[in-house]
Amino acid sequence: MFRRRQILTAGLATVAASTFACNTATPNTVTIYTSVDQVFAEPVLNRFAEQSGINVKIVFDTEETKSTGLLNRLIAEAQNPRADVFWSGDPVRPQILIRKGIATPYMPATAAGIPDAFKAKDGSWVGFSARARVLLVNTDMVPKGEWPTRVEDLADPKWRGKATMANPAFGTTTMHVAALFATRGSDKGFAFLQRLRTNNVYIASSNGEVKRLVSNGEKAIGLTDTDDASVALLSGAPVAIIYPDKAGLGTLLMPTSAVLMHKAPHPAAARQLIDYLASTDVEKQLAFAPCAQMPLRAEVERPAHVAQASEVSAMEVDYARVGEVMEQIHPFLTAWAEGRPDVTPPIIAPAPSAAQAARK
Amino acid sequence: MARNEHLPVGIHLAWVAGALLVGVPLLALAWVDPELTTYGPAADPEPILFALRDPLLLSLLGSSVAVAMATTLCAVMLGVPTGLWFATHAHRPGARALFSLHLLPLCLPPYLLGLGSTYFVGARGPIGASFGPEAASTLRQVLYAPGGLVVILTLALGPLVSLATALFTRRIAPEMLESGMLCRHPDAVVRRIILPVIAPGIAMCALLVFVFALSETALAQLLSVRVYASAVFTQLADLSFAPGVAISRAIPPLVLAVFVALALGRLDRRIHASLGTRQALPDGLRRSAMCRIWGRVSVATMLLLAAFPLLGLVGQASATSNLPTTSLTHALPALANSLRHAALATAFMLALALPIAWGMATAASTTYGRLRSLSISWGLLPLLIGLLLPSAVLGTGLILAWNRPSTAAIYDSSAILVLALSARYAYLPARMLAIAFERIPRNWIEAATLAHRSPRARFTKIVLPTNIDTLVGATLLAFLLCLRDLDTSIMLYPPSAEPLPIRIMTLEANAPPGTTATMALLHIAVTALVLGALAAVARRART
Repeated sequence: MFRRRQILTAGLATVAASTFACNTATPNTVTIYTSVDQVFAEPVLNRFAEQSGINVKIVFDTEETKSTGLLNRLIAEAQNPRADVFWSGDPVRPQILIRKGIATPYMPATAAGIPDAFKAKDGSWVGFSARARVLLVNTDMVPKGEWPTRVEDLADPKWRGKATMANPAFGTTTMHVAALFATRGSDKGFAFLQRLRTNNVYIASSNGEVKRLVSNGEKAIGLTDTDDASVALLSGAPVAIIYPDKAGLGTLLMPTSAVLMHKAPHPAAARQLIDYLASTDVEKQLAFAPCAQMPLRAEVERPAHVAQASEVSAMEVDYARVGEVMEQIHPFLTAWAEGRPDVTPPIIAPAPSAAQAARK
Repeated sequence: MARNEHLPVGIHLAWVAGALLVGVPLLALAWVDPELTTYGPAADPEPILFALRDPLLLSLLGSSVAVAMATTLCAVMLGVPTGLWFATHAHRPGARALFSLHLLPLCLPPYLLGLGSTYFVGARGPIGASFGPEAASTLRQVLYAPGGLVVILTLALGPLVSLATALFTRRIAPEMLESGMLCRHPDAVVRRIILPVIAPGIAMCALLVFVFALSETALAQLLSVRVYASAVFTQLADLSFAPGVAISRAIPPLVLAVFVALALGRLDRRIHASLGTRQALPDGLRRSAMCRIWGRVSVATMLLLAAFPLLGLVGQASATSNLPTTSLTHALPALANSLRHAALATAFMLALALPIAWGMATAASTTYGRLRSLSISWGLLPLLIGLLLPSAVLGTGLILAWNRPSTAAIYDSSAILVLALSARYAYLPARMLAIAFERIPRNWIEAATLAHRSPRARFTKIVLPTNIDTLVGATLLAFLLCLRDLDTSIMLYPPSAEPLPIRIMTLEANAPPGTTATMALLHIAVTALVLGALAAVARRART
């Protein structure tokens, strides 16, 4: 009986130790939540851990809940944050977190050389290593002369039932729609969404599904991100990437961005990590990775097939304003994506053009 | 009969456990800081009223219920003949191994089965390679639709029905069956004796299949099928942090929990008294058409359905070179996390379930006896709510409830995942044990009481040894449910301590399909090993 009691006590002690082994107790630790795809983000973060000796704890996002389950977790943990850093695949969600008081403005020391267009005027955030919103076309189904050239082409009747895009309530598609609303106003933006519905554009669950549908030939064209498109190309799928609206509105660039969480448990390590993420080394790593992300700094070495951001005819956007618009229209987009009839967006005036702004 | 000193501890324990695991998170959601929410204070009746009369939501709920009912029907139509075939052919060489093999999909996350199926019908999968891209495209359109969701869920949950059928059939008194076969054809014995006797047990399993099918989220998102659980998720997702609306959308599942509890209570009373200990069945039963023809067809169908996703995963994994090292680097730490979390959560659930079950079983006949047959279902209602609640609501509530400086030891460790998994699954082992303990002959306990044996002695010398089968079954069920969990864990796992299913899900975005396929196969292999090991332990414990 005594031996049985000893075994039971030892067992209970082991269980308790195993259960309550704290994950964030050590000071030389930093916790990062990231919506950048794990397959691309993890090597970058592992390299930081090796170089700095800081233990990096990571929470990744999933394909189907891109930037959703993770943001939910950050907001729910706001009163007592577990995360030190949020590394976002787009520049606007971090700004929203700063506005909500969940993240703290921090300008990394390594941000020198990043063009002003990708920095907040008040120094609250900086973008680096960008993706773009692109059209992916199946080259077996669509001959070169018939390729679409604009995002608006998704609503062209000739692509009826053959086009796809990801759910505008989630991820980078939300940002893209918000950018369209911010630049062209809610009237034109809403009209575009309604034409997409009329044209039977298939609303996929994610940009990854858009990639799969176009690569498999189930859809002829799709709107997705450059990392998904690049992976499709590398896998040998019969696809081509088109940077849309070169002669018009321009292609939307989406730099990634990292912010310091308010009341971060390990602020010093967090700042060190953000400095690293915004460095030229990380831009180079992500340019050479299968995601083929565009460096924002001209001096960063990149493979021949990866464009430099300044070479792309980019959409002129104020990312701060896109963030504000995104917050305003998100409930409308959720309802629209649910298929609710008679939903209308809030009124948003179009942004003044750059020429008008310069005249003023 | 003397009033028992455990009255009514079991029910109180169950409600305390339910309040701690499920009630506290719901309260935390209702009183979340309005500054964080999109639509104002969470405890706002307006969203609740809107959600309950919103035609779009009600329509979505209706279609989700239809999917769940279709899954249940298919699971019963396949599972019952399969279970009968295994029950009547248990003596055959290899039958036991085949039985364990057919249970494997039940032990896997439905998401992995869906992933394998998407690879199977992919343009470069076995179908595309054998029959051309058009055939693959046609099958993909079937898969990425409510019908495909029903097929995968049937594959994942059908074995639950066949398992229950086999177990209940083998507990029918053989004298009853032999008497029937003296004057009737085996077909009539199956139709008029076996099926009516096991029907309440099958109905109980069917309800559980329905509950699991209705609450499945990850698989539905993978197949791009809109389900009610996803509609709840979107209200707690991204910039729309609206706990009040999420709770309001969670009300229909809560109402459903009450009806399910009522139905289960009635079924409990009807589990036939003729069910005793496991016995060998008369050989003549194998001549019945149900066992011979339908049984073979159903077994073959279930094994074939299970083969498709497996072939898809094997095909993807073998198509890429240099996989094993890469995949193992990703998979092994996550696999260790999976096993650790599952073991801890199982231990915690059993620690809760055993006193609850024993306390309920010994409720006195004087006050609670009339309600005894319902007391298990109503007593476990809070835990049943945990099983039915959408995972986003449960997960967010647990974060809001436990993420405080005073509870950092829980939230910053695996303990939060233990709580989450227990909130989700504790109902099942508690119910299994409560029903089993309730059937212990009263006079045994009374004799031990009269002999002045302590409550601990009565429990360890009478209750546990006579219910070793159920205890092992409850442990196995809890462990495998935790091992396969995805929807609940994904909201709360500690950083860098994700279980393997979550790692597969996060890597699925743009990782080489071969990597995720190899990791999925590793998960399947480990699950099969665990299943085999626990089954061997169970067999040894019985002998």
